Amino acid sequence: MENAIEIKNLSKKYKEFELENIDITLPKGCIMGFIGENGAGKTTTIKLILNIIKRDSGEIKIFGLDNIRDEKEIKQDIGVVFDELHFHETMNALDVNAVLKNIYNKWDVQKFKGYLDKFSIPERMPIKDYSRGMKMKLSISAALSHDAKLLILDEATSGLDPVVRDEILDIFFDFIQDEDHSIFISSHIVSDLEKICDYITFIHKGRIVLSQSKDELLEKYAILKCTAEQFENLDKEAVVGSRTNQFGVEALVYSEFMNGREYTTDRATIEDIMLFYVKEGDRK
Amino acid sequence: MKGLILKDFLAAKKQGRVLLLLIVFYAVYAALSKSTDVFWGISGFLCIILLSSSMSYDEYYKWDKRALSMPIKRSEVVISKFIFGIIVSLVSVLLTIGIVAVFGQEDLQDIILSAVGILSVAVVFISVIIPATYKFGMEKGRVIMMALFVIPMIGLLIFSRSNIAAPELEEIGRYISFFPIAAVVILVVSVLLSIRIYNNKEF
Repeated sequence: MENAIEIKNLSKKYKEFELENIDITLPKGCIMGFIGENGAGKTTTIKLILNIIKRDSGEIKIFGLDNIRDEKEIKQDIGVVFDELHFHETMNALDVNAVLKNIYNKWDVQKFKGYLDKFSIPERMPIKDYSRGMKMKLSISAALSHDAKLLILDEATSGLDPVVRDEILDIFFDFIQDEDHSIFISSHIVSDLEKICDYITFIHKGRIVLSQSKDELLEKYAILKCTAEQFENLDKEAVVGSRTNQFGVEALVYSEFMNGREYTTDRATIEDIMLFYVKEGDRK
Repeated sequence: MKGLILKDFLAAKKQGRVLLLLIVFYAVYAALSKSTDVFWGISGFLCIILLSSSMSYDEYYKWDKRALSMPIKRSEVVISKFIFGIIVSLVSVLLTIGIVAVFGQEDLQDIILSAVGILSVAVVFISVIIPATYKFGMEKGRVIMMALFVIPMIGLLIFSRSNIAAPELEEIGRYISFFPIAAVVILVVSVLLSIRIYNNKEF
């Protein structure tokens, strides 16, 4: 199977922050959620994929092509949504249409206007009068109107209310129905990603902590609630992280160690996994 | 590239309207006072304002981040900015020629001299503003722009106070063919320099 994104050994060093040896593979036809706390390196990684900033070392391939050598060709097939719109706000949706029509070979005016209609965005209203939700919807409309095969979204759903977020997630569902289409979406709203993603990649302090299919991930980990005594008797290899409260201990554990034991465990959510990893990492 | 230039015009349409209004106002002023000299300076000034405000809004809205996420080469971003500046200057000078021809008393030779002179100066200004803004950002770029206006004025002031005789118009006319040549050389160097600066920028 061909990969939509293939990142190997990617590094980028700043004074206060370093992205170290990132490896990410997004198979074609899948949605990957890219999670991590603010400042973990999500946006830096996305900017490197888009060659907006320069990598120090490593390799990035999009649709099997080098992201720098074949940049222009690749970008015809990528739709990007940033957390901001980044258009001059004196412009309106028709202006955006006129500009993008002259940039993307496969720009589809009817499709774009269809999205504007669907999202009830007035064609002639200047962007400065938009709500945040409308700006995001315009950005998404633009990203979907040039027959892109890969959507890259950086915090596209943050700052939006649950109703709008749900609407937008539905659009992504529609998009991914085509098996040639893929989505790479970063967010710190983990619950959104848990709903739609096939793969989860978790970045923490510039390093990839884990990157695998969501189902595997949710099977691999479990939440254990027990007394402090019980916890003491537990094989420490089974524990990823724990916190003690007045009722006992809550811990993220590997499910395989729990089989056939007398502990009761709950399903772990992606958010649990992220929180326990971050806390444990900070303690070490 | 066409999309980028179009974006600059669409984004500036509001300021463009204000500037057109200003031009109409000065045209009326010129018609009433029969004096069109001041007009040349104003037209040059207006294109610089449009260009630098286009660049400062680019910076404010982080437009470059969006532009570079699209199928556009970095050099295209830079070159389109120059083309925008030059088109604006041409339009502005053509408008001025029209107004001066209708309301003014200058003869054809004077008009051509002034037009070539102003266009050359505008090109030099564009060639300074674009690389300076890419290199130093809009805030410091503005200081450089002010210097562009102030230094020649001080120069002129010193020149007029000194006892050197002002050259005759014919004498300037003899050298004026060098103006556009010099401006084009500066322009080419500036484009190359700007692309170099822009290639190393991160957004």
